[in-house]
Amino acid sequence: MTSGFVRNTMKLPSGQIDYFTAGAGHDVVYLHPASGMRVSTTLVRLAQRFRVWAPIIPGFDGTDLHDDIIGMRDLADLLAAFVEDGPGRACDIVGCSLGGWLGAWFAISYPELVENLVLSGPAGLRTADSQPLSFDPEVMRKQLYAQAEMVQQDEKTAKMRVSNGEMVSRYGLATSHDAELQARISEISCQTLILHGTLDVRVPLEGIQMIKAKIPHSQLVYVYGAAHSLELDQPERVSALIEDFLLRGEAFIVNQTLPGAESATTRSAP
Amino acid sequence: MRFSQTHHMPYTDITEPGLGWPISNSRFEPTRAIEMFRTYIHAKVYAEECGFDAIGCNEHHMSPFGMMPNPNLIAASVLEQTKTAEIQLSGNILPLSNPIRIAEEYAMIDVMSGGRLMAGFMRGIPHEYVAYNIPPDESWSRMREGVQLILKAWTEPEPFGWDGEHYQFRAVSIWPKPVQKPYPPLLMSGGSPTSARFAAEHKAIMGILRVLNFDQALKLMDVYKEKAREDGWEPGPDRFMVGVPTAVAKTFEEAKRQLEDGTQYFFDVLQGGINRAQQLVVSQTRFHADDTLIRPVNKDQTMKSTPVEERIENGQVLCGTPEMVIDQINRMHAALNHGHMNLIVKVGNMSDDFVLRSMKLLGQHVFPEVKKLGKTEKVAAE
Repeated sequence: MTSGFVRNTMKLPSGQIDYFTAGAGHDVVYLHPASGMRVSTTLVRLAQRFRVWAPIIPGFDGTDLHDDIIGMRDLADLLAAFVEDGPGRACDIVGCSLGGWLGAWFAISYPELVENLVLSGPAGLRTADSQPLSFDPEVMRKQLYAQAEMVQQDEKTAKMRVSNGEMVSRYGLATSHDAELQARISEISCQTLILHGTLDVRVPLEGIQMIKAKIPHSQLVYVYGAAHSLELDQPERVSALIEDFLLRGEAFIVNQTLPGAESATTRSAP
Repeated sequence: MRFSQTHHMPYTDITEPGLGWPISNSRFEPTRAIEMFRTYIHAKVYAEECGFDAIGCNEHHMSPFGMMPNPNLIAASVLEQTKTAEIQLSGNILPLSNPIRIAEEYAMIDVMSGGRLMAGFMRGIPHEYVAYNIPPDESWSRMREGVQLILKAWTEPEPFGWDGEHYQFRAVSIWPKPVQKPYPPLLMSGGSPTSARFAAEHKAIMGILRVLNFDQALKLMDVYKEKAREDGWEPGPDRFMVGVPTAVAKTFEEAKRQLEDGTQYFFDVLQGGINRAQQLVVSQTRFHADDTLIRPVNKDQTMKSTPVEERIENGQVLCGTPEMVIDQINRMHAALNHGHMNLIVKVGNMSDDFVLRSMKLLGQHVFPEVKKLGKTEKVAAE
């Protein structure tokens, strides 16, 4: 257990999936980046307002692979089974990087299971012409964090880090180019918040601008001074943005300053 | 070589300096101000007729030093009465204001002028922060973030939000956007090494708005060039603007007398209360904390007590007959190889009649001889 989060397992048709959960209220499913699952400030804050479900994508953090789950669309199917057996109803999705890629596919494939969507530095938006992503640890550290020295190392074992690295290829993150997703991104019909760090060089700006233009009900917010790992680089600001969006939907563009305002603590009616 | 005209629009009917800060406006006479504004705006418009390539407007607050707290208003008046001169905002003091407002107003000026805006972003001088109650310690961080936000507002193809250290906006989509693409040429101060690097980082025209001597100017230009080369590009003369108070007359004696008297008034009266406020800000905050290499102590006092001849020698002023000023510009260009000169045509309480005559002499006799230097073209939008 970490900061109130409890680790559980769920048996699904394709295999067993591990997940963390905490909090109470409206259901929010958090989808982790390629560095694996981590109980971040964002998750802890979300759990103070919502019931948070954070599944570990099969193969990450030393968990078992599911033989039939290979690409993003398979993962979206798996996530649908998880939501139906877990929350059991439509929920909000918060996806970071790899998780954002998955979240986008999930919103396209299962719109009935998604209320609000947050895509934080979503992967999958590079083009065939993009320079290959570097996975050199030192380069990655510089590209992931604007202030690497300020970010605490997580508690993963060396073996878990190796297995997470292997998942990069399995799920297509090496190229991070998903032409089909890019072609179908306009099918996302829910309210969507897109977050992009002003120092993010792993997700092309053009890709972010493209999905903002194509997703009909979307808001794009640039997080100043953040690199790709937004929620670790600027934990307080990113957490506040996500929380406010999930509580107020499109009304989050309105500056609300009255202390104790109702919608600051509870979810607005749709 | 391109030339811009700067006129600070001072209030010149007072004879005693302000004692503290802010400077009391009890001596302000509105009817005189009406006359001054007409005279000063006319002088700016007249600059185009004299052959100036750009007309400068700059922001200062709560002082007779300059009655242009919003230079964009003066720019709007000038652009309507001119056709070709660049509108050089030099500039809005970015850390004091809402960056989105600046992005909007600059875009308006660019549209209204048919794409003639040179967009200046300045940090201002320390006392300005007292005027708008902005912590001087935040000057640089506001500047850095504000520039990024404005460039985003000018170039982003879809509505966007911004979540920063100083500025938070959930929905931005400015109307109009600038005419010049992707955005107007930028002008930033290069008065310190930190400023020079920052200007180079944005490929801005670097303005050394007050030259102390050629050596100081060259060091600052070298800082700019070094940063540009680090970033993989080579700056030409068109990236450097040098600012100098200017007095041209048919005799050296008249030009010298006008410059000396105006300078005396500038330092003794107009700068009076400002100096005290600057001392307070600098002593209480880290406003200059990043500017450690070249910034001199008591720069203004040094200039005030320096004879005009020595100031000419140092490249601090242009003063004399047209022939003398041509030589001075040639010498300055040989030393600095810069592409722009920003001529401050009214110094202190220099007579308005003299200002117009000085500008006319520049246009008739000086510009034809020196504009060919360096063959500087207008800086294209980046």
